[in-house]
Amino acid sequence: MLEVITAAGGNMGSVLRFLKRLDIRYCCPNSPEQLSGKNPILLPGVGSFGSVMENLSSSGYPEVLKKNSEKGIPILGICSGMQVLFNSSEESPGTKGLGLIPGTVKKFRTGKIPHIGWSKLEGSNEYVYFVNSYHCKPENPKNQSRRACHCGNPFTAIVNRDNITGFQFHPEISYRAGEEIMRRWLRAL
Amino acid sequence: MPCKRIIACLDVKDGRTVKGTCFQNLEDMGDPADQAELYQEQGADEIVLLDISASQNGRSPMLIWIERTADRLSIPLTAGGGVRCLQDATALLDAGADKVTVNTAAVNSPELISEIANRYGRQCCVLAVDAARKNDSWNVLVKGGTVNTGMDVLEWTRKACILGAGEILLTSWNRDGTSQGFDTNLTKNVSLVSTVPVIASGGAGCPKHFTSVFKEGHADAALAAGILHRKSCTIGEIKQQLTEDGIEVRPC
Repeated sequence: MLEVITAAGGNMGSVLRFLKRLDIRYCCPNSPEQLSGKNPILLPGVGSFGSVMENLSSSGYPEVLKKNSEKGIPILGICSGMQVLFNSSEESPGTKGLGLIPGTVKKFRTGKIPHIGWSKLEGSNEYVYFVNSYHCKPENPKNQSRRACHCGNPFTAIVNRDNITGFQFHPEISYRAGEEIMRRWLRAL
Repeated sequence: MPCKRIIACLDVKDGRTVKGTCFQNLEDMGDPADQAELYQEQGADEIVLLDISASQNGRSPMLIWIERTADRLSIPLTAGGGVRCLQDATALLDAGADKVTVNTAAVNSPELISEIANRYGRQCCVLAVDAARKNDSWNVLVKGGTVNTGMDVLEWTRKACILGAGEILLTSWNRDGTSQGFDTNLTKNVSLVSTVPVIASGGAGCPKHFTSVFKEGHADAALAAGILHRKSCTIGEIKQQLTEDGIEVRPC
């Protein structure tokens, strides 16, 4: 059973339809108290770093997520849900992130922003759908498990540190590649 | 940059896909959900569903068609037509769209762009601009191409980017349905002033037209409608041509 945190805000429809399509059992706890502390957690997020953190904080999620992460519960953040796994973001100066992966979130400096569309994951033949103006910079480069390119500059597409994982792209609208990557994450748990 | 995108567009009127010329003489082209799924399998990078009867009649879009289509897709779906306020946008997103397009209402009240961007993020708000050539410039049309606002397309694009539009869906009214090729000059000019991705639309008649709009028009994505509905070519054939011409696309 996957526990989906819907409190981060934004449009959750695509993500939930995706889980149904993949036959993944999930539930949507209404508060941090309802998290079982046993099941893997999915943290989708759309919106700014600041607004996602504000939504999570106002319901008391940050402390509970930290505890779950320390217990080794797998946590997967998607898009802004990935970015808030880090310490801070140029998007919302002064706002503290969840701090589950050491590092920061930076703005793209070149080209048209947002980076919208399909980009190839380096070292694979998989194309996935991105929509982001900011990108994650983990302090430990080893946490950067897959990269994609914006105007020739590589950025973090998948981050991984022990039980914590983040996808910058949207697996739910990345056709078969997205489904495959999601299944892979689940299999590895 | 990401790959150049080919976006299949379905104009929906009373629950059926239609295709016209210069927005007129509509022909029935089939069931939108069936077609969306077919185009997804063919390699479409996104689907756009526009309720083209909505704005003219002043009614809300048909949510049921959005839902039916979204259920069958695992690529991004953009919906629009008759979005007049934030609540209309919310209804489309709740029904399963990933993004919404605004057109007439955004011209009447530009703050609508900011409202949608602030609530759902910039990437959710696609500004549709219908452009009609006037001498050496282009005017913005609204209400399904029936009303010329006299506004300059480039000025409107600049303003919309500042207000929070996440993409510009740019349709050449003069080329729409003509199969003569995209207006690459219009696309290039808009792309130069736009800080966000530009989707070129109107006039695609063969795969080479897509090469031109990417190479000469600097488009980030291109829309295909009639060319697909009429089965003049498939998305696979368009992408093959683009690959041969050295343009990176997502393989089908």
